[in-house]
Amino acid sequence: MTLSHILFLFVAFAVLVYMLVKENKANSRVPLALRYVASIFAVLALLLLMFPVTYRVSVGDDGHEQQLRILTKGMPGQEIRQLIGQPFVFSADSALSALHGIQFIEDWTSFSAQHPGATIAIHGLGLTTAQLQALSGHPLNYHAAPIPAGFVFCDWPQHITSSSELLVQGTYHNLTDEAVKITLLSASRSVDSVTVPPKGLHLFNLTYGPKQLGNALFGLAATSGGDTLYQEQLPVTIASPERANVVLLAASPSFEHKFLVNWLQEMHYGIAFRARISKDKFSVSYGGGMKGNLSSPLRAATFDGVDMLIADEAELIALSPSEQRLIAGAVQSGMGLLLLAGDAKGASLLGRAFRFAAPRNAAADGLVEMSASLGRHFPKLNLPVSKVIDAASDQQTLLHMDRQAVAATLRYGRGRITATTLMNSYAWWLNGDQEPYAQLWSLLADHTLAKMGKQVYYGHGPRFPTPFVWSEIVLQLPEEDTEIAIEGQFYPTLQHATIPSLYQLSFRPEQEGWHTLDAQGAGKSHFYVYGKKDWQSARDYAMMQATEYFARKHAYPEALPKDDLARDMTEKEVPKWIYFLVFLAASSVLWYASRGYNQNVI
Amino acid sequence: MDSTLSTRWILACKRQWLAYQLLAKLLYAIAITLLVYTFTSFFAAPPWWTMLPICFLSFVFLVLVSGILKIGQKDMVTMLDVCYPELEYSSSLLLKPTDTLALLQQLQVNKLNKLMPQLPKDRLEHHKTLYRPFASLLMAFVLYFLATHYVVPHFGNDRASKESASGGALREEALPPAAIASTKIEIRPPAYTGLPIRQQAHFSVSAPEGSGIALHLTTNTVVEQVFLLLDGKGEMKMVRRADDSLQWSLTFKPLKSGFYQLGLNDELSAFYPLEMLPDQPVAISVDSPASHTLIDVGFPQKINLNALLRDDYAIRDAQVLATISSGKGESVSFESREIPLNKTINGQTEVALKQEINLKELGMKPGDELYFYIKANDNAGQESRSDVFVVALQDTAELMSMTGIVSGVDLVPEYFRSQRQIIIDIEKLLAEAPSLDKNEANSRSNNLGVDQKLLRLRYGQFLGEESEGDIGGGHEHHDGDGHDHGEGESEVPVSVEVLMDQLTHHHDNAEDATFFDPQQKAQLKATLSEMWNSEMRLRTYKPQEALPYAYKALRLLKELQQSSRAYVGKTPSKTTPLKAEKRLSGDLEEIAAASTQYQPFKEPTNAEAQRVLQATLSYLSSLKSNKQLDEKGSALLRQAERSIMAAASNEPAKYLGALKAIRQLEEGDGKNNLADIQVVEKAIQELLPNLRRQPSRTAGANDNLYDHYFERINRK
Repeated sequence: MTLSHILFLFVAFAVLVYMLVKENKANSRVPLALRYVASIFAVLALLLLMFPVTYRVSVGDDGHEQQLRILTKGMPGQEIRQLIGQPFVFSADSALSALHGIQFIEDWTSFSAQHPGATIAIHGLGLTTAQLQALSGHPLNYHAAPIPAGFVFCDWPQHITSSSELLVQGTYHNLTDEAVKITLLSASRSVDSVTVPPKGLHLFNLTYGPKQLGNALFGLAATSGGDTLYQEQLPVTIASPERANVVLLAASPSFEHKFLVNWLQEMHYGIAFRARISKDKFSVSYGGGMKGNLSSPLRAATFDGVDMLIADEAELIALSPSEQRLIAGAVQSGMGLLLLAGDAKGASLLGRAFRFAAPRNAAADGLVEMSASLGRHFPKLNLPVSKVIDAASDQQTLLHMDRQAVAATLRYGRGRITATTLMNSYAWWLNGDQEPYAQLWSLLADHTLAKMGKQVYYGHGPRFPTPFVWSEIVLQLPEEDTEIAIEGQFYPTLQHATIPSLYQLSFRPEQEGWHTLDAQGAGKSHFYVYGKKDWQSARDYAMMQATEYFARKHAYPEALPKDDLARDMTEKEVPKWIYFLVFLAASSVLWYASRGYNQNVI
Repeated sequence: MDSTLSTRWILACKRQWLAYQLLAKLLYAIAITLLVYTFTSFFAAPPWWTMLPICFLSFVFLVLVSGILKIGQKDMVTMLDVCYPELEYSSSLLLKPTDTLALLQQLQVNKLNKLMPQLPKDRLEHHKTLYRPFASLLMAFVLYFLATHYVVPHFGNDRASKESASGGALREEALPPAAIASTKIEIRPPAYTGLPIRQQAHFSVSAPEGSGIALHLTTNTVVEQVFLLLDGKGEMKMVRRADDSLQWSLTFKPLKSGFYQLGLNDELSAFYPLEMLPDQPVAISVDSPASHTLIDVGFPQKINLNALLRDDYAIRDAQVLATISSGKGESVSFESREIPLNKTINGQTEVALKQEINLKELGMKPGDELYFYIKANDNAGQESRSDVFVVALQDTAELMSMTGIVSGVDLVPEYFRSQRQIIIDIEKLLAEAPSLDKNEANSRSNNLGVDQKLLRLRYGQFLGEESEGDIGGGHEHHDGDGHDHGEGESEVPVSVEVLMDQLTHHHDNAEDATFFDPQQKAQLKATLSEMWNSEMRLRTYKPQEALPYAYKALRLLKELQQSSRAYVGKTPSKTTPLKAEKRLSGDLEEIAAASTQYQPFKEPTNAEAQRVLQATLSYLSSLKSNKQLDEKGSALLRQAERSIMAAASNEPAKYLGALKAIRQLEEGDGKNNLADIQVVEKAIQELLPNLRRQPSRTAGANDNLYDHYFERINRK
């Protein structure tokens, strides 16, 4: 209701009061009661002209005989009442069936068998996967309920390391007329927040470098004007970062390598660094417990237990073809290669995977600004960009500079190769900007290092497991007959239907909170069982989408449009001419009453 | 019976009525005031005395509006007639003079005179007039009570919560142990502070640094030993009084802030904060002069010193210490002296110095520099100093010297000499002025002004000012300046291009088309404005006044000239002699590959404690929902407590609350309110540093489908 509407209501009320007082004082032969009624009707008619009354009518699915309607949660009460009298109306929700006296479907398989081939219309938030599977033989039509308000979608990594960032991405459905502030809470304190505008579905991103270790619960709250609208929990298992072994091969000693080695050392990484100082002469340094032999020529044993190789493209070119093949083999079997392309001429065996091009336009002052995904910007850097990466479709770009890629990564066997044309990022360190330096090299290294792969817990369906609801846990096990215990109780596993290295087990949690999954001999994993009311909007929305997807696959041959609720239930307006007639009649009565010959003049 | 008695009776009745009416109005006024107070307390907390004028005003208003003061005797008499039928509606006769009454009226008056004094006064029932005011007051009071006790505390929730948040843990007084009947803590601040000895009955101590603290306890049962545990480690035994076994005392002098606990037998009390407020040295803030002041020739040789000294207890003394440097190069000499203050300082907490320092009296000559600073001592003997301020007197001889100009990079020597010449001429004119005819002197002054103007214009060219009327703007074209204006222009433009040529400029801005950088240009402009000042005074026959500006212009010119110089010192170098036979041979055989081992980086000493805090933070987040403290949790909390205790001994105000909360969590077995957990979480969050990003293998599962596919391909 806008301000003008409120003003109109006020004026109308004032006019009504004035008319009633005036009629009370006036002398007329027309009875006072009639004049009162006429006054009220006149003002009411005016009001209704301004705010017309609407009503909903059911159009019905005339063409389909014996259409079954299944009413589920989230259906507006008004629509339910309109459907109550009709035949073949069922309910999937026991509360709905008890409230409106609708037949409840208990056994979905027998329900499906009782009505073979019947078309089914599902109303509301939809059905669970098992229920939908039971209806797979029927042509379906889904009339979705309005999208629920709140966090309708949210995703975050459930396992991270304590030195990495927690990234929360989601969608918020704001039904109110006010902006809503979404806050990420850690230890009951706001650590990141974003404001979403009023009305509509809005995406949001929140990040935080967690200080916790172990099984932590973060919070996600939506607040508006001091009121908390929704508060949800984000369970995350945070592990200590694993140290990695890194080999660096440089075509010449440089400051970039010096700072990189120092930084890796600070994190207690195993380091072996070889810099070419002359033809066949090298300077070799080791640290962090790394022992190896980097003398020329390189041997296969050099890369045993190495997680990442950071190499100059010029140095790779200078290596013999057999050494290059050796590196390629190591990468194929899981090692990461971070290629510093620099301004080398020519291409090595692995460097050929990337196409380099001259930059379109260099910055006038030599300063370039780089950005990564999620709009994360790095401070300006004096970077002599001699080339940029022309990323192919199988390559993921990591860093951009003026919409040109300066870092990209691709899979190579079990390992990954990341190439970058960055050259003197140590300038940040000299400026005291250690944080962007760490962020940038972490970004490059994260995409180069292979995943830990030790995790037993792989996934969960549904996304938000709740107590007393069956859920499927997907696991990756080193051996087929690994015994699995959840909270000390053993569960049988089944091999996954499509991916043979995965296994799954069915689990029915009985309480909310953290659960420990113990794969005998393969380590422990943790997962969280949510409360009954947690993430309700997200669960509803997920169910709606699953139902919609299923219904689209099993639609009528002469399928109705997807969002057919409008056709089914239309909103009609009471014609305005009725109000006008009422207004005219009431005004006539008042006019007649006010005439001189009708007034009892004493 | 005398008729005056009857009249008096009527007057008495009136007075009584009036008194009741005024009382009623007063009650109404108080009720109104209470309502106003209740209403305003929703938004602010007004002091109670502000209600007095409101009460008075509303009383006056009520009295005036009701018109009770206007009630005369006639009205009174009418009222009496209504209340007393015995008066037979004739009491008004009493007010009339007796001689104007008719016989029958006189008879009636006599009758009334007899009757009246015997009439009971209570029939007027004045007290009934107070019923309503009393009821109103009662209602107002009830409203006030309800509002202030039940509504306002919730209404001003934010205010209250803010206050409690800022007060933090310190304001919340922990309860004394049950075995302690009474406490007396005596705080003896150091004598120099001049603060009195303070006694308190509560345990949180906040005292000036160096205070002695005497703790006297009375227990309600006999205990074996009472001790005080400072910062969770230093134990001090309390002494039992010889004559009373229930009285214990201890005197100690804490060295730093922290917290303490009382131990009765083996039982430890809650934590009590111990805050030692350090004595700050005197804060000196100098408003004027600026840190570097240059006094030009002709300007008064004095500076105003404005400074404010402030200390928390007392300032013992303050001095202005000055050093005058005179001379140049090797003949420079320094003279230190104390400038006497015009204010006596004896123990004030705040002193505002306002003093004029006469440089001439200090014996300063042109070219000398004065360095001075303020030194102050507080009564604890702490010394503080202000920054050093420099005042320099412009040396004319230095300005006039040609040193460095003849040999240096000479940008504008000719003009520079001219400015010097003008100054010499002005001084000559001033010297000769007394013997000169006035017209002659004026004419010479004017001529000098013309010279100054010419010089100014010539300098103006450097700034791109091409003519006299064009300082900083305007534009004129001359022959050969590279602009084609077309020959024989007619009044009507020949073409659009010609018209546009007239209205627009196609070349760079003249001001920017010079060889000077912006700073030099700004200084040149300042020089020109000084030259203009000098010229103006010369042309108005005031050579004496022109001289300072001419000098200033000269100084600026000199600075400008010197700013363009750079000096690079010589550096000797000695190179290793080359072996000619090895040069350019490319033989690296003897050079072995360098191999070094990096020194391992040491893990920070508190790394393990940090990991415990990190794990505790995670654990607490889960404890909020399951509310069940398990063994692992208790162990974590115990370890975290140690870190928090160390932090609390440094900042008791910040972490003592968390320490108390952690105790309550341990005691309550996790079934505590959320607030305790949040307090601990907040403290741990603050104790933990922000972790720097570091690369790590993603803690996730492998991409199984991809791996499977890759393996299949390899197999084939």
